[in-house]
Amino acid sequence: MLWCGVSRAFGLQQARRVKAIVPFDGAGYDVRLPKATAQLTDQFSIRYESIDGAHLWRKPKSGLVGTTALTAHSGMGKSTLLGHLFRRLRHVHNPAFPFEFSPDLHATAPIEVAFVPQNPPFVYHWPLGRVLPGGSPFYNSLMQTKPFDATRRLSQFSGGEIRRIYASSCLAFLAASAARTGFLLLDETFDGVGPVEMERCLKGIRDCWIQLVQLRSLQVLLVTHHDHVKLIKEIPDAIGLEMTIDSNASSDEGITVHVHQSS
Amino acid sequence: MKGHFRGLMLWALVAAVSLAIGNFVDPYKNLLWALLPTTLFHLESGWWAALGMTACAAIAAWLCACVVGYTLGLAAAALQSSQGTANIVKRIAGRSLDQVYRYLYIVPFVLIVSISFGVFYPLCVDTVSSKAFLPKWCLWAWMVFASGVTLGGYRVFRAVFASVQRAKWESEVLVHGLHTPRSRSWVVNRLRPHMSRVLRLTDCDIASLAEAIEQAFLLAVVAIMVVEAVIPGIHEYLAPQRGSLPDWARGAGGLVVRQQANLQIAQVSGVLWAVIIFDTIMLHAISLMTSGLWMRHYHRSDEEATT
Repeated sequence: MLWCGVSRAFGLQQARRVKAIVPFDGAGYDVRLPKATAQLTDQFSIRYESIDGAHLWRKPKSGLVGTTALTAHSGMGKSTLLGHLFRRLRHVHNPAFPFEFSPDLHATAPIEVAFVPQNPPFVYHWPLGRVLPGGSPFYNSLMQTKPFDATRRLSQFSGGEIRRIYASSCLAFLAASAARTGFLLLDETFDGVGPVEMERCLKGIRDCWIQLVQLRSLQVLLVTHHDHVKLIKEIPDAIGLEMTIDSNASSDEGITVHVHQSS
Repeated sequence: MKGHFRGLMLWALVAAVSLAIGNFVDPYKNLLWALLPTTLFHLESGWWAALGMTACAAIAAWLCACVVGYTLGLAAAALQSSQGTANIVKRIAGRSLDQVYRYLYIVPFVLIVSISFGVFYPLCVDTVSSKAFLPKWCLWAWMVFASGVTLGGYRVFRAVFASVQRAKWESEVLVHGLHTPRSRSWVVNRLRPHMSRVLRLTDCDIASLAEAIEQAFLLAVVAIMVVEAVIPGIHEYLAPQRGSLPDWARGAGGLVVRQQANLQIAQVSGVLWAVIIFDTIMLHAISLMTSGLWMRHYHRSDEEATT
């Protein structure tokens, strides 16, 4: 009896060790946003309207990285949308917001999600080595001007640079996880840099991921209030989304936002 | 600095006016003069020795407060924020740890002193019914530990626990997705999945931890002086003496109570000024330490950020 228990425990331990990253057999998810209402308070809500459900991500045909840039001006509920998406991705069994995942998220989990919010806490006393492994290629691709120094404190970087460091750290986290698909949500993370630099960062993320993390996919959703959507045409499979507000639909109780793919 | 100087001048003016008025009011004629900082020079060598013992005990109590408060805070926060239905027991354990500690804090401190002394006394001192099996200095160490952990420790505990429990949503979501580099230490790597989130959320609210560590020292001084007042000759357990109780063994709190009974207000005032000076020096030292570790990075200039 005791022997059975010991051997069973040993077997479980071995199984855990053997459990390697499962090869990815799909290429990410098709994710659509159907008509949905986000209730912020008792008095205020945001209604997202889209024709046949706007694609937040589409399965990348070439490569493993899907990129979406969502453009909107302030006050349109883009951060709210990201918040709902983050909660949905973290708690897969809690479909509070009706995002449509194809294939079904339940069937193809595990997934992992990382989110750099619009106003992240700036923990200035952290050294760089606290959030990034030494010689991180993601850091090198997003921060070309400053070489990696593990002892350098975050106080020695500007706000925009710290956001990009957080994004690099999130990418390193997703790359190190055993998830088949990593979702990276970036809320105005690259808004401080120019459009050219922003495009370079997105390309850098894509190239680094494909080079380093084979067999697993990454889906990036970048929210911005600049009109940079047309720039990401340089990136294969990228989607440009626009959120526009219908002034007639606005009222004290809430707003209606139209989500559509930019031409 | 200019603001501090103005504040001091204002207080000096208020004190001078009070003294001038008090000089003509019969019951206070000599009393107010006995409250001036010059009373420091009326303290005899025994008083300074007692103050030294109080200072040492207060520093030891503060160290206990920081270590125990921080460790328990991390443990309670990690337990309380465990996710999933399988971890209900952990969440209850974390919450109950917070509640029990809070009750220890809100119960009058004199009662805690009395109970903890009563519990530990038979273990360290021979009584009629039992024989001691611990040295006497353990009783001193226990009382210093209890006084540090009860008041100052809870302040540190609460800062850590609240920074995780009431973390901002932005902090929560960011911390979830940040990479944690592997450590060389096996123990750290084993604890990392459980503690990394809690440690990072504490870092996000580091200012409140720094403030709690400073306040824990003030509370440690208060607690030690209360212990000295309630248990006469508490420091004698550290180094037992024969004959009458020396002044240093009573500590500043014990001497103040004795002099209060004799209406020796000048000595009491001298102790008051000495404690204020000691508190100020120690607070500056602790502030320098927390600043060197954490806070100096938050007082950065724009030039520094762009270089």
